[in-house]
Amino acid sequence: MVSTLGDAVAFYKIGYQLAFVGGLNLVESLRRAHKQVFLDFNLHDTGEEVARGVEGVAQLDATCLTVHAYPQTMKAAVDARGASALKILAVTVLTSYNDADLAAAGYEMTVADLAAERAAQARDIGVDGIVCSPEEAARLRAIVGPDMLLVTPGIRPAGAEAGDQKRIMTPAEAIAAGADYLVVGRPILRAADPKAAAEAIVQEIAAARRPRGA
Amino acid sequence: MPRSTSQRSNRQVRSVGRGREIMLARSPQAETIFQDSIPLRERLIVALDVATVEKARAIVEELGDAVQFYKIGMQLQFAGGLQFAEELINSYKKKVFLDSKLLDIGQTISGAVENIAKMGVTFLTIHGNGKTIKSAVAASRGTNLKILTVTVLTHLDAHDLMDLYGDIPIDVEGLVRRRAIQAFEAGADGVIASGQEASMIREIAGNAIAIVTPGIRPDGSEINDQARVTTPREAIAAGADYLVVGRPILQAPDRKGMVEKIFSEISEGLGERRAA
Repeated sequence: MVSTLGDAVAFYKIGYQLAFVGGLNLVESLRRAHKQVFLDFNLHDTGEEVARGVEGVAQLDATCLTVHAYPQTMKAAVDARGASALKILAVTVLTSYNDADLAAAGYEMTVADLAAERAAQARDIGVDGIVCSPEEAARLRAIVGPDMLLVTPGIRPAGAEAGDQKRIMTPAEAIAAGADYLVVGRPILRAADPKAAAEAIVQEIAAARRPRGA
Repeated sequence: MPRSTSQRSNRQVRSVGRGREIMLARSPQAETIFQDSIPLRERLIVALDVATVEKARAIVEELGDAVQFYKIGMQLQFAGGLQFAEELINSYKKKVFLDSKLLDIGQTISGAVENIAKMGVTFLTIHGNGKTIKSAVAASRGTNLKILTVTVLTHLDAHDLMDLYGDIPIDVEGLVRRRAIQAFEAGADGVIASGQEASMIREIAGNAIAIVTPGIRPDGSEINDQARVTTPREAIAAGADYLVVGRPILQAPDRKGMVEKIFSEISEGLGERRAA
């Protein structure tokens, strides 16, 4: 897939599925090909375990790593990153969760309110960015200010299937709402022509950025 | 961080799960899988909390036949630990607990679980809600992989939970109870729970699920960052099936001696449980 996409794509995300079949070795070859790598491992454990996990990941020379946005987890990750170039991204609320799922887990808050609270905690702790649903990007941008990165999965170009993502937007909508980076998987991987699909999304991003940049 | 108290005051603590009947999503035959049928030597899971595969391999060599079950956590996992897991399984004939604490959307979880099952791993931890757990359980069906869920991390106490859930009194036990019920209803094979919660979970779920207990400190050892700890004897007597022990063994001057001390405490705990 990386060779199919060629120069059209400069940044890849490696998630759980690939991580357990040699994905960690792929990080090195992607870095050698001058690609940036986002490790989406959603770390969440005791502070000490998270710190050790982050130290290990920092040595892999990845660009970004996700941790869940629990205060202790975020603090441990930011401290453990130290002076390395690794950026820590905090996952506010998974994009497959809705209000009913949160209620079942014991949270008496809406997804939007929990995402806002965790974004504020992430800002106070000093994480580099947050992962959030595009729907929440505008509200969270107001909370975290202009400098933190907003990374949004749950992106579906117009007409694509939603899959198990519940809170989705098109690339243009997400960028307009304040997202910095978009994470796109299936709409590219399952496209008849993945490279064309990637280029179409990049164009949509470029078009959406024009009003803000002007 | 400034908090809006008016926003929080309308949220109340609920008594969670008490007195509620739970439907176990597994067959009655499964009810005898755990508890008494576990070989003693498999009840201790040694956490390989070290930075390199070389250090981990040296510990495995040193402990030899005394230890049959090892846990690989965050640290080693990103430093060659996944390949070492396969070495443990295939060359050393050990059982492996991969403590990856997965938490992601269902489709991503399924893909990861399928790949981990192919590695020959015995236990895998996941976080998350009923749907996340169901995805993992479905993906593990037909394999030897058992899915364990994390109820509440052992280093969290009531104060930390207030940080997470807001300025409302949350009782850890109530939250563990709620999460445990959710896990069993979704078909999880077991839960990670502190020794203090083992008896409550056993009461909820009977013998149908495995209780795996970290935060174990043999008599006289330091507590470190674990807020809710018990001794091996206490945890087993309270209903734990498997104990996870890292630092007390890895940092012991005589590691094998410490392992045997823990096994004798486990045996005592089993005796107390049978007598009860």
